[in-house]
This record gives sequence, C-alpha cells and structure tokens, in this order.
Amino acid sequence: MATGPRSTESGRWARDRGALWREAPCALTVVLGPYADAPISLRGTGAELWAALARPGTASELAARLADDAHTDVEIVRRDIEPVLDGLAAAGAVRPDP
Amino acid sequence: MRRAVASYGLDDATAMLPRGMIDAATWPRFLAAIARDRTTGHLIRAVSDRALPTTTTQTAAVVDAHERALARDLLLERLLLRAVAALDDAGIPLRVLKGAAVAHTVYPNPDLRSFGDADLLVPGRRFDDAVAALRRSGATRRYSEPRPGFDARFGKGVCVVQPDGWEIDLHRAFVAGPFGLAMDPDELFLDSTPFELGGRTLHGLDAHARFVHACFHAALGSDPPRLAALRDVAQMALHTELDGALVADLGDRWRCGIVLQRAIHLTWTAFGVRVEPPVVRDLRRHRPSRFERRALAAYLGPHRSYARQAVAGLRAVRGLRAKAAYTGALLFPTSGYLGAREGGRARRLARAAGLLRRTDMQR
Repeated sequence: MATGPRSTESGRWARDRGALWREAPCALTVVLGPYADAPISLRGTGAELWAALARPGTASELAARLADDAHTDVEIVRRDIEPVLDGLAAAGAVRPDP
Repeated sequence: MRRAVASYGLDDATAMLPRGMIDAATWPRFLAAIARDRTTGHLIRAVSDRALPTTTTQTAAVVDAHERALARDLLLERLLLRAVAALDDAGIPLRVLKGAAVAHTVYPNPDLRSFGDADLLVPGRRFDDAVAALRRSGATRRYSEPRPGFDARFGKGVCVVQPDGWEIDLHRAFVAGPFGLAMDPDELFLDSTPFELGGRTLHGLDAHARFVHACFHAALGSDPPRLAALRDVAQMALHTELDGALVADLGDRWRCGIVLQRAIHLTWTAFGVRVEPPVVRDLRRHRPSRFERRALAAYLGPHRSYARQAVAGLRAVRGLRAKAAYTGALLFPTSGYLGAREGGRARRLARAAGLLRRTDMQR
C-alpha cells in the first residue's frame, strides 16, 4: 500500500480522481483507492468525511464543516478524522489539493 | 420476502415486506439469500426507511452484508477500468455491459445495483485483437474456441482470467445461440450512454439496447431468473425514458421480441407490478414468429445447454457459406477444444447425436 502525506500537514485534501466509492444508507461508505489492496469501509463520521471531501479542504476546514452539521466541538471532530484522512491518503483515495 | 426486497422502492410493486420482525431462526437464511440475490442495496434501504423492522443486531448484519457487496463491486470496477485501459491502448471500441454500467446509468444510486462479474462488449471484427490485448496484460482465455475465428464471427464471447484470478467476460453478442446470431452487435456501437468512473468516461449501451440486453439477461439467464436481473427490467421500464416503438423495432430486427415479452412477463409476475407503461403494453401484444418460438426453446427447460443453443443457432446464421463455416466448426473443432470441453471426439459425437434427436423431436 502506498504511503501518502499525513493529514497533520497544513495542505488541502481532495478526493483522488481515480478513487472508486459507494455511498449507502445507514452512514456506510466504501472507498477503493487506485492502488490500494482492499477497499476501506467508512462508517459514521468517516462516511460524513468522505461526503465533505466532495469539496476539497484542510483537515481543519473539513472538521469545521462536520462539526457545524453535527453541532459538535471542532477539535473533537478533527481528532476523529485525522486518522481516517491518513488511511485514505495511504490508499491513494485522497491527495493533496494544489 | 426475497421478491419484496428486490422490488423495494419500485412504483406500484405489490410484493410485500413482512410487517413484523423476522425471527432469529429465519434471519440468517434470509440475509444469506438476499446476499446471493445481490439485492442488499434494496434491503438496507428498507431497513433504513423502517419499512422492514429489525433488531439492532439484524441492522448491523445488513450493513455488514452490504459493505461486503460494495467492496466486491469496487474491486470489479477497478478490474474493468484496467481492462478498458488495455483495450483503449489497442484502439478497440468497447461498451460496458450489465452490472457496472447499469449501476451507474439506471439506478438513482449505484449502491442499489451490486454485481458479480465484469462484462465488456467489443465489435466482432476486433474481437481477436481484444483478446490479444488482454492476454498481453497477463490474462488467459478460460476456454479455447472450436476453430480459430469462431468466437469473433459466431460466438457470444469469452471469459478472460486475470493473473490474480478475477475474470472479465468479453462479449461479441448478448447470448450464444440463435438469438445471439440473429442480432446485429455492430449496431450497439452507434450510440451509447456515457458515465464517469475512476476519472474516466466509459460508455454503456444506449437506453434501448440496454433495456433489450436486460431482458435477455432476465429471460434467458439463470433458471429461475435472478431477482436483480428482473429488477433491472422493471427499473428501466418504469424509471427510464424508453420509446416503445424503438424497443419493438429492435425486437423485430433482431428477431427477439419473444425474449423481451418473456422478460416482461417474468418481471411483472415476480413483483406484482400493477402499472404498465406503454413499452410493456406493446411487448405484451407481440406475436412471436415460428423462428422466435423455436429459438426460445433452445434456452429453456431441463435440456438447456450451450451445445443445444449452438445447434439451434444454425437457423439464425445468414448465408450458405456462413452456415457451412458454422457447421464445420461445430462438427470438426480443434483437438485442443475437444480435449478441454468435450473429453474427446467420441464423447462429442455421442452428445451431438443426442442433441440432434431432441431437436428433431421438437419440430
């Protein structure tokens, strides 16, 4: 599996054009990066993160959008989504947005 | 219950979900059947909408089952994209068939249509080039053809196995046998329905050919028919723009009106759909020709087989020279083909005699 840049860097993130995914009810999303060995299953906040990535953003911006929707503390959301972003980046499903 | 799940969300379907929870003893068999039917996308909606009451454990099991189905869909789509890239590099026109194309162009959300294989259609004149292009990427044909050039001229297609074991069905026509030989596959490249996948624009069949193909799959595929195939027919007939005259025209020219009629009958019966759009009413009125009735018999019943369809296909081959080439390939295939599929020439002759007896009895 490729190792991508980590989400703690200050750059913006976007879905990779080569990523394949399905969004389903019950907050289920499944994503396959172009070079990943296996799909990644996202549930709950992870699925919301993938939906939010329809518009590129930094980890902080993405966390702010999700926190705003869920009326939750943005730092808590950011801590939740950073490892998910790292996993998606490692799978090549997201990439730094120039 | 399986029919109610497969028709969930269709306008006016009367197959009903149970009002109460499914008991713990029945649940595992029910969920396994839905997974086999590849209709977990409809089930998860029924659960999410609370149209099917479930326990917390049952809901979690539905989400897990759908997750597995979606993971497989995505892996198949990547396989498809790699095959498309190889064929594009070789300059071969193609159309994406069935699962992936239908998921992305017919349903409101692609997760509603799971699938089990990757299907591509290429023109007969480029069929051998397409097989060669996929073989260059390490794939192998599952079966050899009766004689060189047979598949490109008369065959349905070939299954190509990738080095990692995944398979691509490379088609020349929708089916083997008389209906596959009566159609004109070159027409399928005149128009298309484009869709985006993995940063690429792919092309599925145009809406009318796509509907005809869905009917072939529903009417001539598995027996009993797969519920996902019936749902495709209903979804297209009820929720896409179809011109009944254009569908009837394809049915007439490809001598397959009886196939479309059978698909409609199976679908409307299975799901108890009350509404009948014009395309359905027109197909119900179709009067099958003698050719159509005899051709259909080759695909149905306990004796259905590839060999039986191949024998029945002779009637659909146009021209004496073509008939001779077709018959010659079937009667005198290469020894490699015989060894792989028939277990030797003597066994093939015995089977051929049996097939001819049965074909004669049906006349």
